[in-house]
Amino acid sequence: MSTTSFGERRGTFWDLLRFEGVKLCARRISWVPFVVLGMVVVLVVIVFHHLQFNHMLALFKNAQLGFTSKADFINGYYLAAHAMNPAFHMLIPIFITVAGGLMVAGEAEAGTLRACLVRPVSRGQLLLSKFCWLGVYALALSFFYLILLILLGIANFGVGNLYTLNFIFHNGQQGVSTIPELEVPVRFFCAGLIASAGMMVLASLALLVSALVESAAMAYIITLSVYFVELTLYAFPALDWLYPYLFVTHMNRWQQCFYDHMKVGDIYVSLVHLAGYLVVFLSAAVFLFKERDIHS
Amino acid sequence: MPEAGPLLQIEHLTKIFRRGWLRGPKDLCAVQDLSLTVPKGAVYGFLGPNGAGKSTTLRMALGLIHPTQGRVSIGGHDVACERLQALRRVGAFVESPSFYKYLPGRRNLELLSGLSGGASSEEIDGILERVGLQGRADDRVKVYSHGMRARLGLAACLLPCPELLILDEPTDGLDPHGIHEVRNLIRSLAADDGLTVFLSSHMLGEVENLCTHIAIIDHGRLIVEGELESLERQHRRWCLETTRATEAMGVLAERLGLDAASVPKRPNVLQLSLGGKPPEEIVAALSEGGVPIRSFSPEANWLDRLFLELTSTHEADHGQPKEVA
Repeated sequence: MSTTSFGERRGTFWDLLRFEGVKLCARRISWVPFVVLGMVVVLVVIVFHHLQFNHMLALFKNAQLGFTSKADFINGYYLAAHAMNPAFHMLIPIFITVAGGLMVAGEAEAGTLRACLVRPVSRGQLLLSKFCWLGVYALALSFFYLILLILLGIANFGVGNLYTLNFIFHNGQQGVSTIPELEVPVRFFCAGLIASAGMMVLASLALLVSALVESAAMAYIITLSVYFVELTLYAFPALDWLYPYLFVTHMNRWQQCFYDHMKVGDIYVSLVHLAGYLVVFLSAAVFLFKERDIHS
Repeated sequence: MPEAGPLLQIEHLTKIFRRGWLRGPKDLCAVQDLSLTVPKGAVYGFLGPNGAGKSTTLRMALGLIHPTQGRVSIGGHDVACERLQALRRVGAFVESPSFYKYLPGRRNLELLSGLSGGASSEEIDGILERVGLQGRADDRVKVYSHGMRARLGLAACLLPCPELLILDEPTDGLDPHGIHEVRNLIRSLAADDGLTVFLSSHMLGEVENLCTHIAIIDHGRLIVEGELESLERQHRRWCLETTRATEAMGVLAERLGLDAASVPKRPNVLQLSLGGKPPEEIVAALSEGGVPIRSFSPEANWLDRLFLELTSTHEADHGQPKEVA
């Protein structure tokens, strides 16, 4: 059969990046997590103003630090380091899961996915462009929260050495870590990067699940279930043989940045693991998305 | 008239949906060995009852669903192997046009056309004017009515410069005014711009009005395909009203070899197929046979009748052939 000479018009990867970027920014729900995180930071600051931290004083006294009031150890860095845990365990993963779910399954549900796929765009490139923006989004949420915490913390409580109780960060050792004031910003930067890398792995998992189901709600539920099951397993010390295989173990490695002596080797190993998980999840997402039928 | 050569060719297309052990033991065969040829320049009506496999076929034609067997090619490019080349000059919507509701209509067009290489703001303005949305282009799609979304859907299909339009029930849900406008637009796109249009529809009158070719499918199988004129010649009946019906039946049988049937409750009316003969020949034969003619006119809604006959016959023949053990 003769070939009709169709033009060379098609959507390039840059067109797709622009397309996804505009959609992500134009959607109001994309901005809600920033508002929520902002409110959480304000709430944390208010709580830090009102709490007396007597239990912490007692713990620090046991560690022979001789603090007499909360002003001796509470500062912007202390606030930021201690408020990172809940957000990076719960809030930010939930926001990223929702964004990932909306990007593919949400669009499939709304019918806009097929509106894109009836055009000359590569399915693989479409998914990768979505991942790029989801990665940027994860990075933006992580650093927005962290920077806001540090700035508001410093504005309200000043700066100083960072004192952390080791057991809070699950390294299995009791005691207090003291990080000199000048070293703290670098530690936060490293923690932020490692936490963001963890969030990007979660983003790739969210995208994988989202590429497989046709309902955004199903995508959130499955992704969060996987994440919370891993967190639950991670909470049982008896299952420590399982830890190296759980991606949450490596996602939480940022906590080591707040130890006296940061185990750089462990951090590298975790980063390699996270990169592996990311590549596996993303490759699986692209492969399965290319192969699946779009019924929505 | 359509030019020669197929623009869209569907060959032995089959789609079996595997249900898996969770959803029951039987697979579902949505489309079975379907072959269609859409010539360049044609307006091709794709008809079938609900669940006949129309949307599945359209989805396979657009690469949204992978066929179990068979091949679809657009402009000579195999959709399975060369999807990007095949879709470069295709404008399409399946089921219903969908948009990003939080964005204005114009922005939706800019973004979607960007995926096909982009369109200038002048081109977008021109298309918006053509579909009658220029006054509402900057409103968010969420405030659009159903009819406005359908028009925006057509506008999105027209950017940038398609050669083939694939439309799934383009007038579905529109008011009579909207239906008229969309039909006129499709007619003008085919006649003035030379586009090939492949549309599925339930509205047989619409297909009769617009299309040069039709295909009817049922239970995933092709029942009839061809040029509308030729099918009309073959299947359209004529109604003869005369005061001497019995005599007329005799004349038609003897002189022309045609079988005429009387219409129930209307003894003076006969229905007959012309068998390719021109109506003038029938009238002349009746006049020569001394049969008075009150009226001799083509059957209205012949396509509706044909559709109902063919699809119901097919159902009687095959029952429910969709499930595959």
